Amino acid sequence: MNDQLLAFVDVLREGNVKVSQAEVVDAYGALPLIDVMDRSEFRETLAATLIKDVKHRALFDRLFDVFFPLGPTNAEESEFVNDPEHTPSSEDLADELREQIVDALLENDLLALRLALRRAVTRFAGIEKGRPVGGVYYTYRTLRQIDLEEVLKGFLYGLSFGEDTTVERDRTKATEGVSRLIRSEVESEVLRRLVGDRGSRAVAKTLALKLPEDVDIVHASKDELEALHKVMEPLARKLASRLAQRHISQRDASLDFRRTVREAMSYGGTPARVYFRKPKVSKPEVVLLSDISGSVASFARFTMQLLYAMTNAFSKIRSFVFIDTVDEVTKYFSGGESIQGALLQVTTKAKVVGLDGHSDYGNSLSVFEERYLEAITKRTTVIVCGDARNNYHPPQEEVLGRIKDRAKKVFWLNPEPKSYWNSGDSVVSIYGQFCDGVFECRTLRQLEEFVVRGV
Amino acid sequence: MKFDSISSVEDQLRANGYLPNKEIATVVYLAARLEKPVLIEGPAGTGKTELAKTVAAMTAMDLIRLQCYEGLDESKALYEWNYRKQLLRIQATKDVAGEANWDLLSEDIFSEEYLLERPLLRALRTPRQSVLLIDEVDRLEVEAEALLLEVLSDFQVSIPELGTVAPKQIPLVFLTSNGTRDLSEALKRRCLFLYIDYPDIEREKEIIDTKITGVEEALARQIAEFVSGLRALDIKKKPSISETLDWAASLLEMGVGSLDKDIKRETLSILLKYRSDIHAVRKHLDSKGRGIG
Repeated sequence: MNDQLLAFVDVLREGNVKVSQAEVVDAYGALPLIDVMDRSEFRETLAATLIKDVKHRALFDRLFDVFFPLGPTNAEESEFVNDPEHTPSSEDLADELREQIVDALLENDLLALRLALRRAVTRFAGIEKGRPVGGVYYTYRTLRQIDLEEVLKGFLYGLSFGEDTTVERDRTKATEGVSRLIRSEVESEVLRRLVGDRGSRAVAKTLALKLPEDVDIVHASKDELEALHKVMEPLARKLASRLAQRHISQRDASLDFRRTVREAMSYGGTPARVYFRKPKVSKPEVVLLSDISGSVASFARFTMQLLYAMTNAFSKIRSFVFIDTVDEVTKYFSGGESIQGALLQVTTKAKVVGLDGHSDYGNSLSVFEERYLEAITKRTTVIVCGDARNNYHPPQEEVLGRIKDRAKKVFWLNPEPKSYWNSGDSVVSIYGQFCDGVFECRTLRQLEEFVVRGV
Repeated sequence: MKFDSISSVEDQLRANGYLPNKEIATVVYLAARLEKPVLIEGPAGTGKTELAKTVAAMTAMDLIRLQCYEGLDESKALYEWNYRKQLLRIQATKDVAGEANWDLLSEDIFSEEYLLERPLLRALRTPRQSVLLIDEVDRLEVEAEALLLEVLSDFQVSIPELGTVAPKQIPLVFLTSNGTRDLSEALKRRCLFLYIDYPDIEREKEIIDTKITGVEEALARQIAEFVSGLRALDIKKKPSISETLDWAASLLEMGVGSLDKDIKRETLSILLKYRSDIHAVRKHLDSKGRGIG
């Protein structure tokens, strides 16, 4: 187990979770004080000593399951599995298991549920030894054979006959909970077998788990996007207060003469303590110009969401979106609408297609100059989001030059990996000469770094 | 130490009106046994401060509280020399003797008599073990955080004129943070970490049961389910536990036996503190019918 814990820490570190030596020592120090056979006790102890940031907890939990899976198969289970007389056909077994699962659910018997699902995985997942896979397909195969829909139907049917009528339950909520439970049980069972087959480290590697802030935004899966949204709000709050702090400390505080003299009275006229005025906070003005064409739309949405979640860090924020022409979308964010609602309106209402719906940065820039140039003053920071893939249209970079002359700073955020820049129809370096900085911005971490340093 | 197992911590907290989950009980237990501070993070109103208070109450220890704010410094957190008394002392001596006494005098005015204890120092110097609550530590500036480091790792304070003050006992330390900024690695490394999120439906229902007497079980569940649904929505300020309790108490007062859409609509303002939030949720209730909760 000692080695296993060290390997676990190693993999956490590989996943960008900082775990210091002192924290590992703490974890070892805590283990003798608890019952390590109690899995939740063990889990919480490791979490409390090793993980100091709630954003890291989801990754910790996934990896914990890989490194310290549920105990070995117990006796009751092997009885079912290795019974040579009892080998029903797939359909019969599926029916039988479904019944057991429904019963277990109705009686709220987690152990029975787990046993039934273990048998299901044994029979239906078709796990092939030694294959370096993450197990998604095995889970899918098992769930398809059990037929989740049927289970839910049986469960609801059983509920309506149960005595539990005192509590009026919301059905959709109940079924949602049940299907989530079954799915996660099957997943962890598949995971347990994979770990048994190939070892924790190998499985952790194929799963390629990442912290939400390291996920490539443009290519994120649905689950990853959900995780991203969760960390977004606290991150925005943090960034806002960090920016406010910086704008305070940059100014020199001036002496509060009146207060200093007043307080000196109590020390017989000696100014024993000197007081300073609170400096005024100066906030930046931001103009955001985002490409929302298919390839980079999700990135544009994220950037808008992040900046609007931290609006109180800016004195003013205006945003524009474009594909081959440009439109202002500031008004959607200013109403009482939530950011999600506003983003929906942006995608449905903004007039950004003039011609063919392929990105045209040159035309968008010149339309922007024509219509909205007044938005840019010498206090404005302009942020352009896009991959600068111009579909071989003329880039009209001189327009960006004129914008730069008016603005305080111009930054370009490119959601493409740096190695792809300037290949094919990407003209990012042509625009780059008129920017104060061009940044690769594929992950939330990079976006965060930019906001802290740039705006 | 009175904590001999995690379950005994759990029972004691429960007996004192705080409903812990396994995570909370484990961390409190470890903190006491390992003599390490606990850093508690989580949204506002989930019982972070309450936990420290309850631990103090159940162990009959004194609670020493340091409320953090921007601009908090050594003289408010650790110790301060009593200027006025020192000045008086100097003046009193001047009249009598003269300059010869300077050495004696300087030794004298930097002695304990002129030392004003602030919360951190007090927590170390009280003869009985105490609970030290450092509240909203994220409000401190990054530089001021360093003030805490020596206290949290070695449980000592260095005062240049007096030397190092050793602890009379090791206090049980809780730091709370609303996560408005990332705390320094150095601080986090010294602490055990506990994240207290909004409670799940079961726990919130139990909290309602314990805190508000006379709420029917079915109603408590409806309340907990509705509030948990609200928190999943994209609103500015999510209702905290105390707002849930206020709401439950009001419903009880109004003689409501079961929640329906109209009652939810009318009493939303107890749960939500922004007009735009109330508006959004009303719209949601209308559009989805029985939708959330």
